[in-house]
Amino acid sequence: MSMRRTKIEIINDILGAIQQKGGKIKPTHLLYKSNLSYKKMLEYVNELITKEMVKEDAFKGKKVYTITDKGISYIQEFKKIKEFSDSFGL
Amino acid sequence: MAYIFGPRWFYGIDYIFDLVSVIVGLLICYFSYRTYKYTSQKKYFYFSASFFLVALAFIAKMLATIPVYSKELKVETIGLVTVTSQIINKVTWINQFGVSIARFVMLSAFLILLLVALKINDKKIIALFVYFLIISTTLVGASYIVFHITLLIMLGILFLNYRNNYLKVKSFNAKMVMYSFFVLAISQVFFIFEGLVTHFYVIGESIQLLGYLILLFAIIKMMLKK
Repeated sequence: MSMRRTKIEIINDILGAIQQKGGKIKPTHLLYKSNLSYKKMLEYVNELITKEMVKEDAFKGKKVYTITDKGISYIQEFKKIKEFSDSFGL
Repeated sequence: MAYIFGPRWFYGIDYIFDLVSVIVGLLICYFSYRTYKYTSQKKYFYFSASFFLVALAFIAKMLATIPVYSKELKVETIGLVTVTSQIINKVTWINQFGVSIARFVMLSAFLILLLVALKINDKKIIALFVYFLIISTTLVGASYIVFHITLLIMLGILFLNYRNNYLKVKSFNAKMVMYSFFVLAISQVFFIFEGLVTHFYVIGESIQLLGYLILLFAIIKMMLKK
């Protein structure tokens, strides 16, 4: 049985999915990779756009999500954040 | 009456011990605040605030006892009876006020930590806790025993919470966090009886230092995680 993901894990999964696709991903691909409902995915992506970790771009006339430097640094920080969160049960 | 802690030979040494606690508090505060900036989750902000208050409480305690310790030195070197009695009065007021503030801030810090750790969101329960906190620091402000018993209970509950967390996540750092709160709780037992045996303050401070050093070790390991 898989454990329910925490918010920071979902954010890491979304950013990781974009990074794995070379820094750009189509919304449909992200929906598949993030394992979230469309509504939930949009909520997370919009939050990440607000936090400037992701930006919305157009690539060959289609909408794509691009990871920013801040998003990349989040992925690098994720293990520390996760360890901190787990250690204190937050 | 001024709050003077421990035997005379320990004056000043406890500053170094408390300074370590300040550094640990500020380090956890910084790390948690950085996590808050990344995640925007309020629990990290409150967690950060609680450790900031821990650091602040130690600073307040240090500042409150500086005048008393320096007064002791002045009495020895100058020895002017009338002048020293005036200094004592002023210094005692600063000391009592400073120590009371330090105790209030320290209990507030661990109350916030408890609310975050136990995930208590009910405003009525929080209001009740705040009421008890104000009572235990104002009405019985002069009693160091009430302060240390309250802190012992808080740290004991936090230890049990972190023990459950360790049993769930089974990580080395979670174990260190659990140990640190156990050691911090034990230190309070010695502080409770410091009025009976002066050296219990020294033992309590030493155990407390150990607790914060364990926490420092854990937080450094978390920060260096790759």
